[in-house]
Amino acid sequence: MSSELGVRTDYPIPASRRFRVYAFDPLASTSLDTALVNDAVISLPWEEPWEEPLGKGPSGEYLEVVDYDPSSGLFYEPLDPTASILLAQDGLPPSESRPQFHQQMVYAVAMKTIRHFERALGRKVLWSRRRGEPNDGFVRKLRIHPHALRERNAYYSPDKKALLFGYFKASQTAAGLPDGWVFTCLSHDIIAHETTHAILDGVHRRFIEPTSLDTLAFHEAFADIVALLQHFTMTEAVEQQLAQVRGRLRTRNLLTGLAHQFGDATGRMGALREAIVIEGTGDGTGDKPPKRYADSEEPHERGSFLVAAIFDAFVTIFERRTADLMRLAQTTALGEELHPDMVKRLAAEAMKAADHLLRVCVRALDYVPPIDIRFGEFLRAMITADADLIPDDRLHYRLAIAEAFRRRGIFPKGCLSMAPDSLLWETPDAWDASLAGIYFGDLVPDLDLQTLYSREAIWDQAQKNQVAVWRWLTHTDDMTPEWERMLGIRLGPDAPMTIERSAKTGAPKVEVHSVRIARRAGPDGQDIRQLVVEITQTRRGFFDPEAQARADRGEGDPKALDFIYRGGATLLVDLRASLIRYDSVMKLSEGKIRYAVRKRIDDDRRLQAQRDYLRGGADRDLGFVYFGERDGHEPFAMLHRG
Amino acid sequence: MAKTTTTVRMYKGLLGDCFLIRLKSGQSVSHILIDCGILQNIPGDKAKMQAVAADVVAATGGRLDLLVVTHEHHDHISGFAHARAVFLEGGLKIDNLWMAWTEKEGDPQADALNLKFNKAKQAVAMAVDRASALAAAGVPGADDIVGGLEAFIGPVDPPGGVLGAAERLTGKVVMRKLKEVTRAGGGKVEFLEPGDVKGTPGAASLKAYVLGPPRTEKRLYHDLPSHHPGKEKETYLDRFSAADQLLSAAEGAWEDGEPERPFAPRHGLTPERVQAGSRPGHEMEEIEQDVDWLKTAYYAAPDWRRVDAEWLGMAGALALKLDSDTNNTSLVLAFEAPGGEVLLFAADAQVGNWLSWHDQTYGPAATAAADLLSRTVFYKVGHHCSHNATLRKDGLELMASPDLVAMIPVVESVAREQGTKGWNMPFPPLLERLLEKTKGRVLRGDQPTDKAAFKKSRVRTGPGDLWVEYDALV
Repeated sequence: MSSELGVRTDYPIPASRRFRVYAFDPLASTSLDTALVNDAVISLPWEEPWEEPLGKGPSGEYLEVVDYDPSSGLFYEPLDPTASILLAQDGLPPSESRPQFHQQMVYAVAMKTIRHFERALGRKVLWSRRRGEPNDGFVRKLRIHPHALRERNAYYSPDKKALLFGYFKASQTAAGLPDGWVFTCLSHDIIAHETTHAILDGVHRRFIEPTSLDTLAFHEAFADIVALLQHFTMTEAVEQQLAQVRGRLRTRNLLTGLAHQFGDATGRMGALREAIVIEGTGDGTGDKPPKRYADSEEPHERGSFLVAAIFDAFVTIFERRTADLMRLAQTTALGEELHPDMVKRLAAEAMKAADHLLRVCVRALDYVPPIDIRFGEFLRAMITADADLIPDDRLHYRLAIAEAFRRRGIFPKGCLSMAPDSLLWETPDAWDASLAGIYFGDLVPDLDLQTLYSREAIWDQAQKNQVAVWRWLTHTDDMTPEWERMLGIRLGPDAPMTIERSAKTGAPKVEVHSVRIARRAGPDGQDIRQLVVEITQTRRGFFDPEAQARADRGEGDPKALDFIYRGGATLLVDLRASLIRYDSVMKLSEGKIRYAVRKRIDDDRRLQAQRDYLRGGADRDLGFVYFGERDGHEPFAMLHRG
Repeated sequence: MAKTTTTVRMYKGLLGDCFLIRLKSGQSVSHILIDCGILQNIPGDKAKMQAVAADVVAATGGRLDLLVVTHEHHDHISGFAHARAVFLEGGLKIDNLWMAWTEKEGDPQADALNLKFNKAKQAVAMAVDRASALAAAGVPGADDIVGGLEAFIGPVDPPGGVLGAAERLTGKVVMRKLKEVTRAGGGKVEFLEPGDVKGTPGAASLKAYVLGPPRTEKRLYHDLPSHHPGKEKETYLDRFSAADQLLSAAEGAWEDGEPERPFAPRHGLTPERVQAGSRPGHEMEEIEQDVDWLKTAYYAAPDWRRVDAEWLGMAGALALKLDSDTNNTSLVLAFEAPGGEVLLFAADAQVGNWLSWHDQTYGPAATAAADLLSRTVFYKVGHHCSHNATLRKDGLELMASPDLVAMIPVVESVAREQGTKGWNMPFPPLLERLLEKTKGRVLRGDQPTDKAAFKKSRVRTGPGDLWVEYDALV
């Protein structure tokens, strides 16, 4: 018996596909300590019936590895992961010299990253829209080119919907082979990092716009956080490293650094980036005073403060989870090795804590403003997202997170204090009582809320829902000033003339960016069904405030601008019924707006801040002068080549 | 000592430098020309520079006491090539030629530096060639790469440094010919070192302090206001080893003649083979299937998916670095009048060059750079007023003279058309500060001269707005 896919239906389908990979990168295989644990296996769930089956490339529902190496002028034959001889041995064994292993590893690590996101987000990962493509710009597969560049670089190209990995000869190395080849597509961390860029762009495509120091830095930091916390999914490696540092995660080790081989091959004598900044030193290697978050302007450096904060919170949580274990084992004396059982227990706790924190970070993505994100806002998003799902914070995760941010001087604007309670986003009626009656009740029936599985069907559904929300917003006669206030946008005839106008009606344009449905389950059976709606407006910005004022009044060329300025809000709408005060009576309805995370389009202070940022102190990099402001054409390539 | 009046003439309408200084002491007059260039690919550039050259000849009577060439960049030296009859073939007699130590052949440090620069330049040129070929074949994205790079490199020496029959006047050649023509005319060529102090040649003379370029490599490769003190060297190594790799990959050849490729020869299929598709009946059936899979995946996919040209994008970063490093080799001179006033010509010096001025003292009196800056009454703004060629704290803010005047050789409209989004020249915050410091006495190459801010009759303009001149010392 066989199905049309050629699979025998009388055999059970396996739960997972297994792929051998490097737990870190090839360098870790050259040291006796780490060689054993560097040989790891990634288990990916077997494809579901609605997903595209895995095939040559590897190529599947989400990804497609196409291995063209233009600098060598060669294509490399695609791996066939379904070959029975490979299925029997978890894919090819790790090997630097076989390009098909590169394809296997890059595919497996990228897929693992995607699955982590899906679990935390409570929905499917979709790539960002590609304008001009059929079906509203749906791009099913992100391409991966493991050998696209011959340089010390790898980047996500929003334009090509592709990850491009480079390789190079190590000119200076302390641990590796001088003049040996280094492949970025064999670094677990670099793959996870670049995949995260692509996923994040699929969720928030405006985050690649350089509107503030924090925004580009956020992309980098978030990608690093994911790569770092994913270290704690590889059991053997975690156990081995924890044994080595005797359970103390505040000591630098393979788990706390990113991309060791890359770092070594570029003369850094260690990891490319470290999550642990040793107190009292600038970067842990010199005697420079520590840099402060507020003073750092280079995106990766600034991002490192966010990474360090998250990692600090993670270690605090880990320590809290294991304090009892440590006391029981009384392994305080130095030089004593931990009992292997103890190591296993510690590793289990570390993996659990990392998993929790990664989920908190990923879930927070639905709670951030649609544009111009700041680190402080991400903190509030994390706290709120976590409080929504897990009201009772028994292990004080939220306190640990807030503490870690406070220690690094990352503060949100407009909060009463750094207590987790004060960090929650306010419900709209808390900042404006007149917003209490505002809800999406009469919109909900117009939305398609059925549970779908195929990504393309989900994409179509989201497009339809976007149109429904847009129509509801713009074609309602009673669009009240309350709505404008809540959304941070301007719709009336008195809106500044610099706000983009509809060609048809001449009214201010509104963009409904995304309408997504999130379903999440908390540990105690909590169930959340939310609609996440992003609404934005676009406004022409001018460097000269007087020119701005003139253009706002409608004088001058209606197309002129120095830069693009945006405003808008992320709305979190409860799809469960809840009590809503309506015309001073309470009634039960769906569609209550739990939070409106807004950035006002008419906020002149933020406009001025963006102006200052774009014109820059003298401290912008050369790319700014010669290639102008980063214009969305390979924004990450310049950042990484920088 | 007799009073030396000094007039600085800036040729206008150039995104490039050309300054003629006239010194007058009693009946004696001397002329100094600093650079003569315009950015490449500007319509009418040749005619424009020939007009400038003719004016120089007329103003000097066909003889320069001193020619200063600050660095080998098109926008500082292309005029010598555009008006070769005047500058390279004896039309103008050059009594003295000053260049930076970086131009001194046989100087080990200079030779090593030039070797590196050349290699990087060739790598960039190679990338342009490869990308042009791809663009001609219609590969998407290749055009952008060519466009982004061409503005940087100007004519390039072909690999190996051998010029073709139709000799292109590359920067190297112009520099070499200037030395030759000066020596042939009985003139003297000197290569200046940071810290040198000497009188300018000629009957009327000022004291010249040589501030840069530095000999210290750390300074030399420091182009940007840095957040990472001490990391510049690493960046530099990164970029130039990138040049190695780009070059060897582009040439497709390695020492022993084998193409430098990462994998053993048994791996890989050429694009031609993939495009041709499978060969029916061939014995290695799996390979033939792979060929077809690749052909469909790569060539049947939409064009925007292709990545043929992306790897050449790294040449952009390399070109940027090369460009800045060359700017940092700028010869920077401070001319001091007997009364103590200083005229500062910063060429295109970038951060490291500026910082290095304070690394040494000058002359037997151990004059400090900060002292010279504090007495500066005339400033030729660095690098067309870009963001990274005027140091703030240890530079402009030290210029305390109430009489300060600045000249900016820039054409903003042309600068804005360069690159993909335009060059930010003049850099607005810097321009604002200059206007404050000079009380509005900023003379720009691209604007009608407003004489109102200046003391009477100290500013004059030439016919057809060819130049503007300012009596810096009266």
